[in-house]
Amino acid sequence: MSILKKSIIASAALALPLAVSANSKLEKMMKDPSQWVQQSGDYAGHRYSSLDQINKSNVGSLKVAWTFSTGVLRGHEGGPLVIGDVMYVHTAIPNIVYALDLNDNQRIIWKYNPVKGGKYPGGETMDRVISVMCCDNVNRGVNYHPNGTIVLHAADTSVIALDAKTGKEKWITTNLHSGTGKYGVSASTGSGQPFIIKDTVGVGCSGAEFGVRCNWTSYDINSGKRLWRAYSMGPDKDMLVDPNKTTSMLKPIGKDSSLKTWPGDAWKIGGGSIWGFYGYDSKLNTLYYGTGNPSTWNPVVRPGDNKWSMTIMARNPDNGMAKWLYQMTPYDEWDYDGVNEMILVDMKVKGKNRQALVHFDRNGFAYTMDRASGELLVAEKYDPAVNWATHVDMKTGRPQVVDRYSTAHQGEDVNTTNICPAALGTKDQQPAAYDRQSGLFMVPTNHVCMDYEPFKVDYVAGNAYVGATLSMYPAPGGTHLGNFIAWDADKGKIVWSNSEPFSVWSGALATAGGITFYGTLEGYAKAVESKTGKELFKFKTPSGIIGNFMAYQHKGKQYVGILSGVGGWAGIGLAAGLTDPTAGLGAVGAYSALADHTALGGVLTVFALP
Amino acid sequence: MNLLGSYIMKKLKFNTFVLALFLAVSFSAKAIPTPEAVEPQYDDDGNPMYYVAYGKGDRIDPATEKPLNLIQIYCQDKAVDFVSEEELEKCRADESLVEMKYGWMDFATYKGWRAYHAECHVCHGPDAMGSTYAPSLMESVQNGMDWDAFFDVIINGRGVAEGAQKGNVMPAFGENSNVAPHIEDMYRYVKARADGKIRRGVRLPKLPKFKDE
Ligand code: HEC
Repeated sequence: MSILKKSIIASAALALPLAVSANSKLEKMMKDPSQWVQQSGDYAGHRYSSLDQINKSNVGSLKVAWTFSTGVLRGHEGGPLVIGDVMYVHTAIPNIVYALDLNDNQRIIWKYNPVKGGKYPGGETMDRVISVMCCDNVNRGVNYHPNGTIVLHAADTSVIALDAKTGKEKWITTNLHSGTGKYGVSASTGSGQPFIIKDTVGVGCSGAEFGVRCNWTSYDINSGKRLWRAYSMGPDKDMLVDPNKTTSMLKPIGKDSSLKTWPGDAWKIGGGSIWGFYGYDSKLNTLYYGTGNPSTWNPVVRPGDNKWSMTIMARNPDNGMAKWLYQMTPYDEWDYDGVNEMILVDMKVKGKNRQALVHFDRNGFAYTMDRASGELLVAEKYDPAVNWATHVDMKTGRPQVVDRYSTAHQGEDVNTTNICPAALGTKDQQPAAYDRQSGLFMVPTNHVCMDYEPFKVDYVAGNAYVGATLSMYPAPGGTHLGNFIAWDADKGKIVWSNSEPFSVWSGALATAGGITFYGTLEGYAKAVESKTGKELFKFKTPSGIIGNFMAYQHKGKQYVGILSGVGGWAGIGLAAGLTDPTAGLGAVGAYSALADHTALGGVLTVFALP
Repeated sequence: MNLLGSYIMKKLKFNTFVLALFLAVSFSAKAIPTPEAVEPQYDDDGNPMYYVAYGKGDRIDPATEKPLNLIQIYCQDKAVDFVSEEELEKCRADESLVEMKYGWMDFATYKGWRAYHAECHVCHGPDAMGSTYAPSLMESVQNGMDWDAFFDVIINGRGVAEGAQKGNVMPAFGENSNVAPHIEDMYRYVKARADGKIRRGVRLPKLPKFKDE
């Protein structure tokens, strides 16, 4: 090659921003159904596989192809990735990552454990980290960058870039170092997936039950250098909002939009954690995620809207600037975190083509928004039991709260009863799937109500900062704790609903075979017909399922995989059953304890046709 | 039939015989006085104890003849948590408060209930029943865990090094001002659960606060 030609190629490569090429490479891989390259399958969060070898007519004969024990007992959320011929499997704390060779009987190519000598990379002991995880030791999975990196967001908030080939550490940054200052970040933890956009990786944080002020932080994928950080609450400059350009309900949010909604400096321990499943639209160059509860759970001590907790945020991933915000539950009184997944679908809403964002919130409302403008299009209950608000006012975007279920209205030291849904929401983090064939959303849900009593607590840095008690029980009139539903996001209506004895805490997978997969807390892997909900397949895996289904193809054959390993909040709230096992309440069997059905253990089960 | 009677018919669907019996019992009793506060209890060895008192009858599900579990306590047709103090006084006077027939826990045990469900249930499960993460404290006490051992674990915690084998950790609460002052009360609550005095899913009404508490 002539020198001239070489230099032309070199300059062309230089002119093309690296970021774009990496991004398009990842998006191209997402379109290849033989791989599963991100936790949600794609940026739009569809959790849809276009593979159709396994379909309505043959799924009944599905068999276990192989299994793999993770060697870790605690709750396993998230799911594995498949890049080429390698599968990457993560575990609950200590957050081990395995690379399995699909060409060689799943031989372990490498195993990475971030905990060395009992300590996480940030210096914190594993014991300390475990003791400040709110609800079990879960982790929602690793992600992949096409420069050959697997990224792990470990429980101590360390972001760890691993060489996908060797498992060697490329770089480690601890996102939120423990501090002991008055408003230190001393109890932040990491459980959410690391999210790859272009040549960056972004992470949220957990710890709203510990008075942490959470944020989204973006890092350079090649160096681990911090690029920007956007807090969920506080001064405008901390939140990366522009008072004149950032909008909410199509209007500029104005100056100090957050500070005005908190008493004094309560925002400094305001919560607003971010740990769900996120979305990214490369054409609009916008990142979407939701923020969690304001802390404490006692609303009486923080009068105001507590912005921007409980909010859907749309941001420019290059600099973090917020485009629009929408707060679903202003002044939370029930712990209805707004963290659930963002599903991006181009669809007709009320007769008009829209670039929509669909979000099933913990508060029991399913929101359809215009993801370009932030306009609220649909907000309807996706469980008829929901009673804390009558409806969402479409002009103001505010829920119309019913006094009887308002724990602030009832006041401190009063037990407000029969609130639906319970704090774990009509749906928690377990992500829904979008079935591209029927246009329906396949949604795993909870059907649980609660009593809630707020009271005063002290803030002690590094300790739990909860300030409410709650007891949960099945929603009235039924004998089940969960439903798996199909949702029409245009009409805001349930199309079909299958009841489940326990909350459905596993992420769904819709496929071109006309079937949708989900798991149950007793441990069943199930396949239903997407159009009707008819159950076509069921198999009991070794432990209860709180992980997310995924699909891939290897050597021309379709596989479906799911992590079992009961735990998480579901395992804590439901393990013992919700009622007295010895008391007669008619349908005792239906309320029986989860512990009667399943026990601990992280195991991957992979299915295929015989 | 009087209002109370038709209300009971509606709510409890008692058959006529049971209804008559119930009315006879309730009408023969005098108006039920406002309950007295009870001081925090200790057993003979100085260990914290609960005070739980039950009224005349338990509430029975007429269909199964077993005790009802998730109890909705009504005062003048309203859930008891939503009536004003004045209304509550009225219910006490006219005996329509079913709550009175059910039972009470003392304020100290109630505080233990509340502290447990704020600080401990995220690991130990609702009603001290245990979870996939941490043991049932009700069973721990049933299996012989005494006050001293209970106190010790909560103050000092128990990590992997001390024998928590399955990747779960009991934090140390010795320096947590939301927990440390309430350990006696939490023990009262857990002990009452262990002794079967407070049942699963049942929120016993609390007695008034004792002056010195
Ligand atoms: C972060 C989770 C967590 C929290 C919060 C927690 N515990 Fe624990 N606790 C545990 C675990 C795990 C164990 C079992 C350790 C082991 O394996 O020995 C335990 C053990 C115990 C034991 C000993 C039980 C036995 O049979 O040996 C007691 C007593 C106890 N906890 C009381 C409490 C109380 C009271 C609270 C609330 C103030 C509390 N715990 C909060 C996780 C927790």
